[in-house]
Amino acid sequence: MSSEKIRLVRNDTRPALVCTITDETTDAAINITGATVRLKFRAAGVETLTATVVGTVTNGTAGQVAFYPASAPEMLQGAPGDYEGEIEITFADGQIQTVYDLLRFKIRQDF
Amino acid sequence: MVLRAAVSLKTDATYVVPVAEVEYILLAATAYADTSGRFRYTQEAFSISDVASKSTTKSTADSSQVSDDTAVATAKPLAQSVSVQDTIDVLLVFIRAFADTTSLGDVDTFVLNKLATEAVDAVDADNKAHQKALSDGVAMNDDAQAGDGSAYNINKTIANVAFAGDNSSLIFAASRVESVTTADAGVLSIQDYVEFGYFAEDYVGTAQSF
Repeated sequence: MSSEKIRLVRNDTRPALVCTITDETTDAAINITGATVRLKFRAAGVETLTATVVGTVTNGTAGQVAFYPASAPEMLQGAPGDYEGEIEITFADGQIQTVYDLLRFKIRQDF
Repeated sequence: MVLRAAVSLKTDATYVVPVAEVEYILLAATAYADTSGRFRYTQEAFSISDVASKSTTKSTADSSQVSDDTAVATAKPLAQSVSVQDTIDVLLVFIRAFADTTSLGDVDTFVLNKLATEAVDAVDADNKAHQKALSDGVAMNDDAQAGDGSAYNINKTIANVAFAGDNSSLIFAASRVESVTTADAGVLSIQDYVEFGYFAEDYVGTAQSF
């Protein structure tokens, strides 16, 4: 996972966030066909969630999922600053697995 | 004295499982912002449900009957009319002096002393007899006037009805007698039934000659 923060602007509804789920050991793609992938978004160091964005599986076999801020506008309506996101996968059989590493974001104030 | 000591060794046994012998899937996620626009958000599609259409039709058989409209009219019979006689009121006004106490209905016979200034009504049936002295030499067709200075003997029938507009002072005095000359002659007819002259002869009332 890239340590570079994803830069976003407050009150935007784009861009879409495209995520790829892989095996950290083998780098193989995780098949997420039929799975529900959620992005839990919050300000850095705060326990309260800012938004929960349900992703759309764009390529299940390749482990690709896209998150749209337009589906959850509250995601980018918080105060400018550092944010972090957690990806939770609910597979088709109902089992849940969460990516250990967090995604990091930075939101600036719009003009 | 013999001492005994027991020594036991206790150790914690641990086993470290090598990481290579454990297989599990550690998820990793890489994310980037799509600026190409290939990933577009589309709202959830909605379905259009069938809408029941309702229509109402009116049967053409429903029609208003002309007979439903009843005309109500009232008419007043023309036979209802007001008789003129129903509203006729006869008003008789007598202007008399306060000293007069005689009423018409009380006296059957009365003497009239009419002032010379009274104007003679045209309806009065005057029987004038002109007797003038021979010295005047008046022609028979002479219209005698009051200013002639001749002595007139007027035979007048009392057919005149005193009108309220005459304002004549009708003095009813039983003691006063008209100073008539011997040449005066006439018929005094008194009746209050109808107007004098209505009957050709005196059917009602009294008549006296003087």
